Amino acid sequence: MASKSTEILFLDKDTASASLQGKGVLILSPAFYWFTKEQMQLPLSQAKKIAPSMFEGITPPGEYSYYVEKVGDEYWFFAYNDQEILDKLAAIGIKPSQISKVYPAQLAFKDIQTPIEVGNKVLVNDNGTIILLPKSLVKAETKKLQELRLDLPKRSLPLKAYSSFAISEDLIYKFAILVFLAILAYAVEVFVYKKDLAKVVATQEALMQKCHLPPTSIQIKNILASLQKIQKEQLGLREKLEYILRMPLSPAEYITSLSFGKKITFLVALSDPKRAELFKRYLTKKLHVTKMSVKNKTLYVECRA
Amino acid sequence: MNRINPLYIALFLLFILAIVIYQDHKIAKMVDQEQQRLRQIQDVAKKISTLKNYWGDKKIQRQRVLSLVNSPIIKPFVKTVQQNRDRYKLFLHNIDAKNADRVADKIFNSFVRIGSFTIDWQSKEKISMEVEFRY
Repeated sequence: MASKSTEILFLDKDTASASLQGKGVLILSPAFYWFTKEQMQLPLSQAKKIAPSMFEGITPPGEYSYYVEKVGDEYWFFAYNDQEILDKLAAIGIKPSQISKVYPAQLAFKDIQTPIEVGNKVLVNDNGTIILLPKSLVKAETKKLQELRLDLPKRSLPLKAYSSFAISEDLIYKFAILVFLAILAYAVEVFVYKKDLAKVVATQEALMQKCHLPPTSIQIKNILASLQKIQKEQLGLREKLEYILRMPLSPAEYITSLSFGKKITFLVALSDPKRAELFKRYLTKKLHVTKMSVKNKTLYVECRA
Repeated sequence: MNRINPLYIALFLLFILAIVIYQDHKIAKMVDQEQQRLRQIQDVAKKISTLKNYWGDKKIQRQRVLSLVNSPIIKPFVKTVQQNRDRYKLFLHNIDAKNADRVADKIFNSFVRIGSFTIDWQSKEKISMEVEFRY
C-alpha cells in the first residue's frame, strides 16, 4: 500500500516533464502496455508460461516482457516493452534508481469508479478495463491523481532496467550462474587442499617427533653433517688400515709396529733397504705420506690420518 | 527497479572467483611445498636414523663395544681395559699372528667408533694391540 508521502509518477507517452524528490512509484499509462484478461483454471506458474501466446498477433513485432496477476477468478495478462518505458523515463530526466515500484494503470486503478484526471487526459474504468481518454471526451466529474489514496498491490511489474546493455540480461545471469558454480568448485578444491595441507603438516610433525629431529632445517642439516663426518672418518680409517696391511711385503718382511691416532705411523722390517722405494710408490698412491725414512733395514712411515 | 544491476552481480562474482582462484593456487603451491618438505624430512630422517644407528647412538655404541670385548675371539687376549664416560680403551696382549687377523677383522668390521689403534710386536710370534673406542 502506498503511503501518503509516496510520490507517484504517472507516465504517458505525452508526458513532457516530471520530477521526483526521492524515490517514487511509477504508474504506466495504458499506452505503454497491452492488456488482456481470461478466466482460467490454471496455476499462476502455468499462466505465466502461456502469457506470450496471449498476445500473439496483438502486439507489434518487438521485445516484450510479460506480467500476470490473478485478480479474483481472472488472470490479467500484461505485455510491455521495457526499453520503451526506460527511454521515456530517460527523456523526461528520471533515473531508474528513482523508481521504487512500477504498476500498470490497470492494476493501480482497478477499483476506481470516478474518472481520474492526469494532465489533459482522463483515466476511465470501462467495464473493468482502465483506458486513457482525452479530457474533452469525458463529461463526468473527475478527480485529480494527487487527491487519491491508492491501495497498490504488493507485487509490481519487473522492469528490465538493464536491458540497454549490449549483452542480454539472461546471458548475464547464465554467466553469473557459471561463475558461481566455478566459485563453488574452487571453494571445494581449496577446502580439500586445506585438509591435505593439515594432513601433510601433521605427518611432518609426527615424523620429526618420532625421529627426534630438531624443528629447524639448519639444525637437522648440522646433525646429518656431523654424523656423515663421523662415518667418513671411520670408513676412511678402515680403508687406510686395509691399504697398509695389503702392502706387497716379501715373506721375510713384516710390520713391526702400527699406530693409528691423530696420525698414522708404522714400522716395516725390510729384507732389503732398496725396497723402501717400492713401498713409497705404493703408499703415496692412496695415503698422504708426510715422513718416510729407512734405518737399519727398518722403514719408518708417517701419514696423515 | 530497486534490483541490483545484474552486471554488478556478475562482476562481483568474477571478483570473488578471482580471489578463490588465487587462494586455490596459493594453497596448492603450499601443499606442493609441504609435500616436498615431507619427502625431504623422510629422506633425511632415514639417513639420520641409519647413521645414528651406526655411529651416533652412545648407548648402542657402548653395547657394541662390550659385546666386542666379550666376544670369544677377543676376550682371551684382554689384558686390561680403561673406560670413562666417552671412551673405552682396550689393551690386548699375547695375540698370535693367526688370531691377530681375526681380532683386527672383528674390530674393524663392527660399527664401533675407533679413536686410535696401535699394534706392537712383543716378540716374533706375539703381538699386542691397543684400541680406543669412542662413544
